[in-house]
Amino acid sequence: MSSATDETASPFRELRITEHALKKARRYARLVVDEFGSAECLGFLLAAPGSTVVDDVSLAPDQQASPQSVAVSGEAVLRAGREIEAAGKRAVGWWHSHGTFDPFHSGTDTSSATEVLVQLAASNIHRSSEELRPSLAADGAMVFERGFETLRLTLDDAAAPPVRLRLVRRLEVGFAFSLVVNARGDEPYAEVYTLCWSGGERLQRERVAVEVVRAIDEDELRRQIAERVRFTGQTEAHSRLRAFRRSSAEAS
Amino acid sequence: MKDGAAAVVDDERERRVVRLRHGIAPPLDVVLSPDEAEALAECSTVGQALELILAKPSLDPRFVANVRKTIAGPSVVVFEGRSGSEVANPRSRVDRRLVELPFEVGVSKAVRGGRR
Repeated sequence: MSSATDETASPFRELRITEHALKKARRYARLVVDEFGSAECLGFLLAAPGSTVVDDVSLAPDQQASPQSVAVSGEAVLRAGREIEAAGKRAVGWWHSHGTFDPFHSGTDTSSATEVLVQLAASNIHRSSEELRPSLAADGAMVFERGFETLRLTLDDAAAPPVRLRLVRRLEVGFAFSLVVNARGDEPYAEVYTLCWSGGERLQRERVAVEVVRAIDEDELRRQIAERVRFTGQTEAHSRLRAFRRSSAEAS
Repeated sequence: MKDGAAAVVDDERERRVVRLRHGIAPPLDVVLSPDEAEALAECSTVGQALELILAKPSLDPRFVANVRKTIAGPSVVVFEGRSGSEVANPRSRVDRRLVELPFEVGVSKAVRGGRR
């Protein structure tokens, strides 16, 4: 596995989490320390179906916790999966606490985060596409370049009329987040793990910022509305109202 | 087709479903043909039974590849069926009681956090 080195590595620049979910993870961390002294705990990052905003965290069942580590058996991970399904949520990653120590990623954490990605990648897929524009080589060939990949197209028939080509590259990236908190409420640490299938399987990890969603996230609501609501009541008055709103928005 | 006939078909289908769960991911339902169901009952190890289920072309190849990654290393396989449940590993012998369809088979590795 390698760390991300170019812009294709991950479509995510941050882990977005609601204030409630982050507070809940920190509270679990603090209460476990209150109960057992310095000890770690872990669980999973949950989101609504179709969303990548973490709006809840779960506490995994049957944990073996100590001051330096925490472990959840494979059976307990499966049980956690059933609980998440029953709650109508989906897991978008995992979280754990470092007790009263600084949040960061250890070798153990990286190994577990990779396994969480392997479990989630096929169901947590971020899809995007990008259009590549060609440049014209001296010999008339069209050259599409992206990173280290180059596609060169030469038309055999020089007398052919001008051709306009569009190359659209479809990207599918499986992902899982990893979040580390502590009982002191320090700045959390997060990474995103991605598995990209375009052009051969590639597993990468990258540190990301933690963005706390404090109020209602209008962008997320708009995205859900665009995905789930289709307006069928188009009228003349409605068209005029939308046009007026658009021109007002542009003017401001 | 009469309603009653449709119900019979659905019941038949239901009897051959394996619910495949990979850790915390949402599970997938795999419907086996009567021949595949028979072959499943003949598998001698848990790993063979899993391979038979994973060979279904209807499964997303990315999901299949990832399940194979998990069972390639230390992992557990949990059977949950009408006859109870059992925790095994891919090299264990199949308990024929537990592969009586329908059943759920879960595959997972442990998850650990730590400062080292």
